[in-house]
Amino acid sequence: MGDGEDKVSIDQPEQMNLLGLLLAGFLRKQLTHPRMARKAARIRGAYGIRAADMAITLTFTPETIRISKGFSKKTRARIFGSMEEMIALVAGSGSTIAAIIAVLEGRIHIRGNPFALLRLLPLMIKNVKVPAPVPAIPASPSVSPPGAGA
Amino acid sequence: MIDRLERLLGRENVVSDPSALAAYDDDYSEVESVLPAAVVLPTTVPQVQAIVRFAGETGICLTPRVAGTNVGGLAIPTPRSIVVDFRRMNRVLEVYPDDRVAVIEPGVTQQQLKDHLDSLGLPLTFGFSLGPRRSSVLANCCLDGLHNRSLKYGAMGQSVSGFEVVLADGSLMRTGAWALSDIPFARSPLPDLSGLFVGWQGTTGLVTKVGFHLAHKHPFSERLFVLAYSVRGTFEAMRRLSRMEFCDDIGGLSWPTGKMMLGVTKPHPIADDGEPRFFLYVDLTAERPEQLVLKRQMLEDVLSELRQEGQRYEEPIGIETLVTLNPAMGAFASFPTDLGFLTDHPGGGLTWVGTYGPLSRFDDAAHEGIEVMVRHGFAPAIVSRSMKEGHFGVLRFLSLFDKKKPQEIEIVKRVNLELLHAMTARGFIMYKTPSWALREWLSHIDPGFLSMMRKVKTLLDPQGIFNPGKLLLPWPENEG
Repeated sequence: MGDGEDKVSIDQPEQMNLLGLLLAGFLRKQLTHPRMARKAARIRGAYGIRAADMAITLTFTPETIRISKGFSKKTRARIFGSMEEMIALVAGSGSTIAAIIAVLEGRIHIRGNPFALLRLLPLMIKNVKVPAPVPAIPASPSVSPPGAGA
Repeated sequence: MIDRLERLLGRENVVSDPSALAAYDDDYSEVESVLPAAVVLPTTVPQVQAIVRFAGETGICLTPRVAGTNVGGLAIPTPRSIVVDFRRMNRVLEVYPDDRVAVIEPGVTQQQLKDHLDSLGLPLTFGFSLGPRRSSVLANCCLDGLHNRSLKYGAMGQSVSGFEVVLADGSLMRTGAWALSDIPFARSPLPDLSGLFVGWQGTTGLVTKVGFHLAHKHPFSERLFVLAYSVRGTFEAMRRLSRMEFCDDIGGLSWPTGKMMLGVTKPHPIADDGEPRFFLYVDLTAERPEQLVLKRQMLEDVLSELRQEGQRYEEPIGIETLVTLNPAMGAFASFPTDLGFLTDHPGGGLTWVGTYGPLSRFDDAAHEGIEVMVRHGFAPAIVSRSMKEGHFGVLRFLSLFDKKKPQEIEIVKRVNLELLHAMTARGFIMYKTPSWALREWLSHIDPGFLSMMRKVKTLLDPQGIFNPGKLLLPWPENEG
């Protein structure tokens, strides 16, 4: 799996909730990194994620990750939490231990197969960095020192 | 005409080739395109004076333009007129660091001025509009647009401290303190003639320089997003935070605007149950880190207080976190803020009804605007912001459309008309006002105000050469 843009699809994007749209961008970024793309290619099945009152299902195949709104009935595992906790999990320290502590402390809830979630976890919490795009803006043609005459 | 213009300005500063003129015939909006007779690109003030004298002699009209990014047809020429493209007059002429005043020409863009100030290494900034990086700072001053410092300073015209203007007879005038002082430090204390060129939409003269107030750039800053679950919760937070006067900017983006930013060009008009209704964003700045911590705590206190009153919000999220989560949010991470998702979409069309109005009426006005947009099948994309410490604010309803589809154009025209009527009935006033909206106001506007506008226009532009039709002046008698 690679080329994030092609490998993450959204079912009915015009109807997708904000959680799904935020995670789509996140996963596309993650898949630009070969190591993450390899990890994603090894994940199978559907996983539910719920933050605040928004739910989505991530369905993994060797080729793609499909994001659909709501929970599908066939999820292998589901993760629940407040928006704050879920954002802290995904955009936080990237520590597996911190994620497990969040579960043990009851800030993040899980249902289903916890071992299946362990495969998903690195993809979701180990943030890869992508260089920020540099805007193509022409430089100022005139730079005068302060107080220079008009 | 072309020969004469070429003699006045040099061949390299005149465009008459029809294919090149086509670049000047429209903007983002649904307003009909019009091909100018010629385009001139002056590089000096005497050239602008020569152009105006030529227009006065021949009666040919002039439409000023820089980036062509207006969303209301204000820079679309009238038939057989000349577009004055100011992009080559793009010098930052003066920066007075201690007075925090800059003097610039019309072609200076937001990005250029930012780069210039950065290159000087001074802690100075200015009010960025939400227009593209290439849009003109001076145009936003003259059109009294909003900016990221509007919470403190009001509309951009309030930052103007003086103009240099070419008048209808080709003479030159300076306004504000600049009439007497070498530094355009303020519009006070002489009679405020700068106002003759703010909000007049290019119909009273050609502005060739503006002096305006810069702002101190604090070393510490934070942009926070708060997901709010109701219209009331969004605007009540905006009102309370505005009153407390510790934020640099407070705005609200409705959920479709957020989705557009995340790549969905046409979100479904109805939000999901349980989905936040607004991204409330708050900018905080400080001289010291502990000051920033205190401001953050004050924000959280206001949200706690509102939660106790039954409103629902998520915890504030820093923009850096959101960008980590989704790089598309990077559009909101820096200035000038580039909202390319509004302009770089397949259909290419962007229109709005953008209004200034009292914050006390934002909730009802937003509900009504949402109803209008949803009824016509549009996702209610709203961009709002508190201005002048909450004395008023901006409420904008945005519609994206396909410029090649006449049916879509007709629908957006209907939506805009209904939105205008709804907002006007609530006391909101459209800014950067397109001609179609001004026509709707004729029966409501104070007759004394209208009469005075006509007298001023006649005085300043007796031949009607400056951007005709953009303020419906002179109005035909049967309309007025």
